[in-house]
Amino acid sequence: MKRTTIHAWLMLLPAMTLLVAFTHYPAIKTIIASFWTTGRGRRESQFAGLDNYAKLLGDDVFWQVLGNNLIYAAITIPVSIALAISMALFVNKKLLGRSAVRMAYFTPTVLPLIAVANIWLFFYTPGFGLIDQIRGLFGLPEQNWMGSPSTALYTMMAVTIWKEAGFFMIFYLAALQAISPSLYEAAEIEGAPRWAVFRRITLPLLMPTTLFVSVNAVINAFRMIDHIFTMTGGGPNNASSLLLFYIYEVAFRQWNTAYAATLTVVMLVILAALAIGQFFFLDRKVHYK
Amino acid sequence: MHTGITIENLSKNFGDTAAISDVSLVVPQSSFTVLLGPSGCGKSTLLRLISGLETPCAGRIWIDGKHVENLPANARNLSMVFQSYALFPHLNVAENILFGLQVRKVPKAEQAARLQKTAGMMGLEKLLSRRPSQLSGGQQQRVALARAVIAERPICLMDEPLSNLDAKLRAEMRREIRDLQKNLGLTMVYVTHDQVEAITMADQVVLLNNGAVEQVATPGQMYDQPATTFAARFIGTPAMNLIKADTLNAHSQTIWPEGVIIGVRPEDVSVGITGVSARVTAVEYLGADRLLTCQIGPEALIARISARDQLPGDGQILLKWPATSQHLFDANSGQRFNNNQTN
Repeated sequence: MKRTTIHAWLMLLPAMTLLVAFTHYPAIKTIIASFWTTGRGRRESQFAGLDNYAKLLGDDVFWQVLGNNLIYAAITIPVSIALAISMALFVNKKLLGRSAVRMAYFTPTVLPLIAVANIWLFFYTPGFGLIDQIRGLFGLPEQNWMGSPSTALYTMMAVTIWKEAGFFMIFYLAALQAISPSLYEAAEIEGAPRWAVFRRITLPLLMPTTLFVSVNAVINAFRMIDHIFTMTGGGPNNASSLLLFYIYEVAFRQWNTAYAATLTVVMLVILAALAIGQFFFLDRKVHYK
Repeated sequence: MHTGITIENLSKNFGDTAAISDVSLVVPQSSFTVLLGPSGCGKSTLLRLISGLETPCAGRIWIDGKHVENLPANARNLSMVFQSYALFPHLNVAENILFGLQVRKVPKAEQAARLQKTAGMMGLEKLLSRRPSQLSGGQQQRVALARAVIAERPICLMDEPLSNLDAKLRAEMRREIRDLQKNLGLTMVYVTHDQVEAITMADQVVLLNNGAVEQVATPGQMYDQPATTFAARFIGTPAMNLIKADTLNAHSQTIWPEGVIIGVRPEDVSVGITGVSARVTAVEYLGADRLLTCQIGPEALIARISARDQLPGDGQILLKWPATSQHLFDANSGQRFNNNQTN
């Protein structure tokens, strides 16, 4: 081997060691594990072919958490993006105490999700939680928001939206400030109504940011589950469980690591498909400078 | 009733700074008026006050005989071209030009007809589907013009539209804009800091200094009869020489009155056998002409003389100029004396 080639490999080695040890090897190991049975004390792990995948297709809980996760993504992503844009438009104006408002909007992002979950636990607690206290003022009965299967998932969505919108706002705010004020002045001279200015100028110029934010939001919708641990534990009856939370339960509560590996592979495939789809679908609509 | 634009005692402050103070001005209909001045003189602010993008602190503006101070920009029946062109980067040329018609809900067939006419006039037919980022500076400028023209509004405001172009293109666009204004009979208000642009294009030049009007005149009048020392220095390259009477009195036989500043254009100065004694400190060769930088006592004077004229080897020369081509200004106020026959 030539000296320069050896040098090159030596230079790559530190970064490569970390990547291989913590990313590549576990990923490949996961894919392999999904084709084997879980090794138990008395019975060695055996090659199982597609058995795990067949089991997955017949697993009602899998379909339930996947459905939950899709509803969760379909609601939290558009709502938090819409909120983020409105907040960014609001704090981009000249208004009194602008930086205080900006900071207030950003605060949920700074807080750890566990802490956020605790705040919301207090909001939702039946009887003396904030929401029920307010309902009490109007003579409405107590309501166990997190405890009933019909509302549990929505309580989790509220927490996510509350946490994510402020984070996305920062990106939109930066994008808004990059738009030249003379574009708005040109539109003003032409007599464009506010809505037309927003729809024809602001929104299209925010598209690169929207693409970036939506890809991140999709990943987060599948990745952030801290609040489920703290608040509902996926219950009641898996009503608020998400895919990653189910994987955790299968892997570390039931110790069925092979099946957890199978679920993980499926989740990665879904995420990759979504991200690629977003790029192809949105890229045509996005104007880059 | 007067048509065009009339401005009366207009003022605009930004915080404690006065950007425009007590400006009165008449822009005749179908004329080309240039607002000229150094940066920070308030010319762009004045244009934005006319356009309605800024609201005045005091004073009145009439457009076609109507008070407009309280009308929004789009109700003033005018179009505007911005220094940065303000083209929408995500829309193609056709969409950019049609933006105003679309938001005003002009019928589709009329939009298409007007687009075809305007694009033809501006030579943009082949570029209609391009994005602004795919156009050269000059082409972008044309799109910005087309967007203003297609509105078919009688008044067009331009804020330093040529400042981002190179010298050759600028000369071309000057002519094009002037032709466009004449052919369409537009009332044009054009902001620039470039006195060459002002002199070559304008019917009327409004010279601004520190937010106030220094002089309103035709380019010819402004060159031949600058109202103040500021106007004298601003128009013409090289600028008019302004020399104190005391200095000239000390270096010649002629006596100029005290407290006067004598202004004389470089091309009016010639080398003679009598006149003001001066020493040549630098010679700049321009082909047909030479620019002599001369020292008269503590003050410098620039003379533009034919390149064929011989100069004495020691650099000591006598300078003269016809009495009719000299300008006298009050040394304190900088105002022009109208009685010019002093010597």
